[in-house]
Amino acid sequence: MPKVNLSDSLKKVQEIIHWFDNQEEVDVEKGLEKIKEGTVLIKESRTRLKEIENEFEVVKKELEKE
Amino acid sequence: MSLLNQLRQWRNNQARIEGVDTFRVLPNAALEALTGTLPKNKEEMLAIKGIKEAKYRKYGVTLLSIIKEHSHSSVIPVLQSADKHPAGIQKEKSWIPDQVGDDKNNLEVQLPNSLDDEKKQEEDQTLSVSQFLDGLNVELSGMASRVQGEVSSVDIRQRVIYFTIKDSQDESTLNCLIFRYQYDVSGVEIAQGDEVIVEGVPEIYKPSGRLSLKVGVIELFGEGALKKAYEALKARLEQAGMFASERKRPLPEFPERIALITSEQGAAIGDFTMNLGRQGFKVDFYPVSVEGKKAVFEIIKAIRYFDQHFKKYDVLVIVRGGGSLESLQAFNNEALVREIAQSKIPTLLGVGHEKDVTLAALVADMMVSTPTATAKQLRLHFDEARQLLRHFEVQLPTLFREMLADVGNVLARESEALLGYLHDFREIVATLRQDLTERLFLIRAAIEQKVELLRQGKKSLENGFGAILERVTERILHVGERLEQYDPKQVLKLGYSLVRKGTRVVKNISDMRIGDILDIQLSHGKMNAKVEEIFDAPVSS
Repeated sequence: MPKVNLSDSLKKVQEIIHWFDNQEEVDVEKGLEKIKEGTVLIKESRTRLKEIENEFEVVKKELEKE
Repeated sequence: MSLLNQLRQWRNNQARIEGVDTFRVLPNAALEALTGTLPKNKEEMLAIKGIKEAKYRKYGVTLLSIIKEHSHSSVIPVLQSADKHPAGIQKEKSWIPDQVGDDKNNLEVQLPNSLDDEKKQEEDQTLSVSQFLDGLNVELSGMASRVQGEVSSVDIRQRVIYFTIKDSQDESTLNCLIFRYQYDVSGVEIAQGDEVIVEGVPEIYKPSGRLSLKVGVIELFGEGALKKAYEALKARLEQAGMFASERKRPLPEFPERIALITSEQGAAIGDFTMNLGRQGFKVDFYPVSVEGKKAVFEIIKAIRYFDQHFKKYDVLVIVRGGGSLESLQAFNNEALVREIAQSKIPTLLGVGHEKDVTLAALVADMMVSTPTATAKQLRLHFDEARQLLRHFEVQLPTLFREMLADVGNVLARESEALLGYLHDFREIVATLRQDLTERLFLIRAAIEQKVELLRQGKKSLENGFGAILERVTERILHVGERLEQYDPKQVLKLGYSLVRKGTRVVKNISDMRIGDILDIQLSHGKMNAKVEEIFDAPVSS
């Protein structure tokens, strides 16, 4: 799975919400497409935001070994 | 020069080149062991405690070469050697740190005979002044010290700054010098009367025989002096635009690779890691001193290390717990401030402070006040994103439902309108129907009227016709009667005869000719007669 760009994904979801908010003429087909797109983005972002342990590495020790 | 001194001299120079403490290059014990074992190859050298693969890779060849060179030169009479040691060589051993004391005894036991000889020979030497001072300088090089005093004079030159410090108790004076680079890195501008702490190595300048402390680091002492220096540097950096907001780079919203510089000791690292949360950060940690003489050098070194790999990192984080102005001196150091300003990686500083924000924090792209706040800043957008996603997860379906509801409403409105139209249509139809009914009724009435009229007409006709017929009949009857009256038969019955000449009824006598045969019809029967005589006179009635 390609790396998720959270900033971009959240921005896109916000744009979708903005699109819904500003719809003057109701277009259900388009709305359905947007919902699908938004759902995928949310799911990908959720996966990225799953709580994962941080990785720690002491670089100085590595340097000393060199 | 003895091998030990030669090695020590090399070690001290190397430490100076690398900008590290001498023990980091090689501890005294290792130097002692080298002179004791005189290794000839890698294996023999690696057997010495304190020399491992990494050290060997770095210094092994040089060390073997020094030892080898010394072995060769040891066969040359010491008197002819360029480097000679003072007769008091035994004193040199007294400067060897206590911890190697035991080894010292062992060392003497293990010393090869040639070295023993060398030592005896050295004891008998008469040295030149230069040789004596060289020897002293080698010994002095192992006496790095930290000294406090008041600056009594300053002579700032292009490459070197000469100054003296005096003891506040007994006016004792110490000459000091510091090279420009180290002076700049110290970030202190000394002036007469400043109370300072200097750190350096004593050395005798041979042309004058004057002892000076070759200073590596100068620190101002006392809160007042520090504050004054802090304000002065702050004003200068501010004027140079170092704190300008235009210089600040935005930190990435969702940093992943973090370059961390802080101390391994203390609460800062714990506070930082504990508050990072579980974001899947990849943290490369470069432990440094965050206080004291080494802090500036180590932090600068760490920044430079991360800068060399800047593409790997999203943010450079430097954290330290709070402290007094004095304890935070490193973070008010101009060299460090400029290093942070030049970092290729966006910088986030979380250095605690009691009153004045450190200059390092002011120059950073972003600053917060504690290591905990630093961690929270890094995770801030992750937490916000989680919240935002929860919101989106609710909002998006809601919006779609609203959209569908809108569609429903539109449909309802449109169907209502259609029903309205239908209703109108029905009304129109009903009206039309009524109109039509009425019209039909009228038409029907008219038709009925006409039919009636026709009926009446017919009746009239029939009546009229009957009358006419009656009259006609009557007339016919009358005519009949009359016809009967005029019927020749009737006439015949009355005694009249019908005379025909041929087929023609004879009405005029002129048509008669004598001799004509006439048909005479009587009421009953016919007869023929022959005209014999004609009388042309009217018949009298």
